[in-house]
Amino acid sequence: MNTMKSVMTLKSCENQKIFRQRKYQIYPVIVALILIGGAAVSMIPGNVLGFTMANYPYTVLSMLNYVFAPLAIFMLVSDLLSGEMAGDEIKVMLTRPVSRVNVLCAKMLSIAGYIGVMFAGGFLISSILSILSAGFSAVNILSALLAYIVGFIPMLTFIAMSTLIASMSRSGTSCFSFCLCAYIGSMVLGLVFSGLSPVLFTSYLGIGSMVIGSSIPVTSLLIGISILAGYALAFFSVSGIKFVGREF
Amino acid sequence: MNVVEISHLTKLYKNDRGIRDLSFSIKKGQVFGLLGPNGSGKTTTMKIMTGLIRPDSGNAEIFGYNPGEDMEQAMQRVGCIIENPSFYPYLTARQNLEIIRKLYPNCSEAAIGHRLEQLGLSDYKNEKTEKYSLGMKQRLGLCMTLLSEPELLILDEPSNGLDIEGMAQVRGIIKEQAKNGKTILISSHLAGEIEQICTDVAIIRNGVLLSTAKVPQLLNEYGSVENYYLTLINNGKERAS
Repeated sequence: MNTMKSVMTLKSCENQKIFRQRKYQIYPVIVALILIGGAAVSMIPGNVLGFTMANYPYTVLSMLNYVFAPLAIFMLVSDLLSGEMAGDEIKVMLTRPVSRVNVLCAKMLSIAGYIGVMFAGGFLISSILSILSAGFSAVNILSALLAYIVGFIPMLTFIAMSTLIASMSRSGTSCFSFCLCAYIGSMVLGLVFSGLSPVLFTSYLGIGSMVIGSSIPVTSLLIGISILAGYALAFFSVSGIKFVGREF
Repeated sequence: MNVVEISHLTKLYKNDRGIRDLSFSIKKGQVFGLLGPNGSGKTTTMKIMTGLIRPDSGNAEIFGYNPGEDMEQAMQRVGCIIENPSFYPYLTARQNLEIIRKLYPNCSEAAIGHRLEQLGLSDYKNEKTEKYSLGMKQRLGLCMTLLSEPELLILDEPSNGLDIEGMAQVRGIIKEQAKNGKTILISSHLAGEIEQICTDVAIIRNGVLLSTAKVPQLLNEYGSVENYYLTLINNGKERAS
């Protein structure tokens, strides 16, 4: 099998593993219910939550970027990487005619796919709810779609960071905890030392919001994407080295 | 060309256990037993052969390929169980086998049913493997190993945890594979098991290969593999004292 075919085959195996687990079937449903519930509450007179339904797709994008997607990434990486390494299930793949790099890439791509589905679902649900409550003319669907596409980029960096943590963790639980600590720590660092913010990748989680509005700050956007790509490459390289060199 | 070529393999762990300067080769069609007590280095040898760990020095080749460098080529015609059979506990036996099948382009859908039937798991194929007993897990491990019709089988204590019936069944399957011309490397700490299955045996102790011999020849000279093993160990002790 050539590399691409091998990665795609492995990815379909990983997808099968993800979607056969009850928690990964339920998680998007819970997220969807929260989004629908949030919209329902904001439609009650008085607007307790303070959402504007015309901007609901952007609100949902923020929720996905800052809470739901990172949590899903941490869970998936903990299960598919460190959990399998701790439980020996990783040997199912590693004793087959596939390279370790391909296994790692397939796992990361599957996680990206799952998060992509969450983003697509979030976009659809929020757009439909937004149109239903505020009317078609009040919602800029194309702008929202672009925001979701750009907003997905930081998730790839998140996946790479979590993979690095997973490749060094001893169990799924410790991986999840370390990922959460790294995320919160990085956010706090950015808040306490604002000078560090431009170089912390967590500062670019809301990069999708840059494309909202009539004028897009192209330079800032490119700088943000470059920083995210740089982090992702660095995380991926180190996690690749750790995973390939690890003894099982 | 030898199917397996192990030359001067050394791998030492922090506690100084492992294997030292291990060399042996396995020819096509041989059923080669690696006999030794727990902690003698059998699993370490097999892990190096399947690319799970790297040796400190020396070389392991399978079908002419080094699994540490060329995993895809080396493992193409190999099926293995190392330590305990591994599979995804949240999936059913059938789903586990479907995942494995995807990794071998020539493996047919029908092969899954055939192997499940052969290993007596057909009735449990839709049960999650986390609910399986130790014996069933061992049989499923064999099922996953045999699915791709490998030319070389590497089996690390395949009858571990099996009852008498299960052991006999596994032994039967291994013998059948051997009859079909498959090359088999099997590790065990039970001399009787090696005696019943293998054509050749290598005795390993404290990470050192003490001897390799033909099983029928040993049976003629010593009556059993166990006698040969004990003679070898006692001679070693005498020499040491």
